[in-house]
Amino acid sequence: MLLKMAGIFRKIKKKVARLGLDPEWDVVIRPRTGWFDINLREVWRYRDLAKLYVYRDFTVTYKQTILGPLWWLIQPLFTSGVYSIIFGGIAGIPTDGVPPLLFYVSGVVFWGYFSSCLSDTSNTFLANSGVFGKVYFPRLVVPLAAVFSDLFKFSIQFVLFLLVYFIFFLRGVPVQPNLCILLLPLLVAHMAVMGMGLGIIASSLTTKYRDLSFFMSYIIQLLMYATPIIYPFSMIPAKWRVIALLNPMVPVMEIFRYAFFGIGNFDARMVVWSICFTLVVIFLGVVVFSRVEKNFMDTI
Amino acid sequence: MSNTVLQVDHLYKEYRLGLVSSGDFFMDMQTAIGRLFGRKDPNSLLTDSGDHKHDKERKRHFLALNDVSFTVQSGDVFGILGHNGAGKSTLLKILTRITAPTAGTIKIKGGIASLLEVGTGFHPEMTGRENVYMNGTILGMKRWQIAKKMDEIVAFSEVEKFIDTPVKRYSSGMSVRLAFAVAAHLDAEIMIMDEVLAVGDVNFQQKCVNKMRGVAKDGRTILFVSHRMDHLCEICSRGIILHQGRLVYAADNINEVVKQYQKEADVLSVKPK
Repeated sequence: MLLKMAGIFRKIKKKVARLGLDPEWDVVIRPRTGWFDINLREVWRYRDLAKLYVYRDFTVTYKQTILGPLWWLIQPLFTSGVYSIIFGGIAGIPTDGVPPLLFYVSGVVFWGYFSSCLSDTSNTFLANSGVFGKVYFPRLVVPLAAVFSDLFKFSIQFVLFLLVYFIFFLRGVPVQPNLCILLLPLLVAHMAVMGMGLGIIASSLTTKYRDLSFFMSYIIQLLMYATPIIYPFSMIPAKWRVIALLNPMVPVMEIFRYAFFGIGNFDARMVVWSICFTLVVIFLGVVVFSRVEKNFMDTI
Repeated sequence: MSNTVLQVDHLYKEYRLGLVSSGDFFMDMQTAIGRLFGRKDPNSLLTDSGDHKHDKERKRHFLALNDVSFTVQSGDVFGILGHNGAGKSTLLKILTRITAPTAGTIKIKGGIASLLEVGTGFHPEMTGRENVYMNGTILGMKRWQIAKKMDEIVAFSEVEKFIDTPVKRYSSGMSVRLAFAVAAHLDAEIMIMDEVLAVGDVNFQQKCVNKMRGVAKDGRTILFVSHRMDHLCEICSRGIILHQGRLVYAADNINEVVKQYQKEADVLSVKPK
């Protein structure tokens, strides 16, 4: 019994040493070996850097422009206007009783967050190789900061959406907001995690072979057409619905529309699938990213 | 040995020569599958699988560091000498965790900070002050630590007047001075310096040397890489010589190391390898 305990104790000690938690040393540098060499505590220690990255993104983006951050509002407003003319006016795609402009603003703003999370994190290694090649800090700080600065942009654009929403609401358009609105923070977080998970996987896969990076903006655009952004879910023919249900962004979008407009198709299965997908993606993403960050500088 | 702050054990770093191409993908697969089944990497120089089929691929590999081991005690100012391509920068890159070694371990007590390339993360559109914060946090400081040292950093850099002007309006000397000022005020126990003395005019260089001597006097440890023998002799206490990835000479007296290095340099210049 005692012997057994001593054995277990020795094993734990060995494991602790291998994890680099050797109490005598603060940092142990070793070759890239296992798959689960993740250090989230260190990311937390560098949170000040993440904040500064967000601050930098905010201040630098619109330096030396006249309209400044107003561009964040003009872009989705213009896009929505063009969509309402082309898809609503010319193509005549129905919007399930919601005024076209409102429908498209909601789609553009909400999808915009997901797509910017995905595209801004998908080139982490390539875009930052200059800094990464000179100083060490947990690389995960950079995609995290990107997600938060996109969140900042999103919240401004969301205010725009609310404005448009209230204008229509006051004019008596029959939109029915309901308690699902309380789920909004969860929906946003869900999109952020999914976008970042997919983004860091993409960025990890493009350090050595760039093939995927040529493709990324294209993929994001295709994903948009695969999600009910410019058309309502109810328009999808019944035989294709099964495929549409596989898209983890569908329930996110549908719950959002349901919360504000009272239209939308989703059920528990879709939600569970979407959540599982996101959890798997972020887990895989962090594992792959942490592995690649150790010596991607040699091959980038 | 309780005051050993840095211990490098049998360090290897292997690089692949030539361009990354689709042929590499095949080799990566070979390596990955080999690893999956617990075999040795057939393409690496470090493992001899006894299989001569891969000799051609092995020729494309090269060891930038080949079995390097040394220890540094607390308070040492440790010189690293070597010709271009000897492996100095590779060693520093591994020490600063920019890339991982192929084999071997490094154990470090306390933080390690690098002045490898000053001014990292400087953004031209941001002001000097903002960049000090940005650069400082990238190098591992907390915001409050930077705030506390701000005045000192600004005074050291001699750009007080321009601190709230975007860095893109700075002269190159000014931005380098500001960058060095941030790095010189880091709190890490071990500082790595690589050729940074080449910044600024003579006055500023002297200031840097003084600062480093001050840092060394605080009992902090410095790893110093330079080709300037006078600076090495002035600052360092111990040193090693690297040659083609191997540690060829180590001594506790920097003057001996420098002497040995110069002797070797003469031999090498007569008979270049």
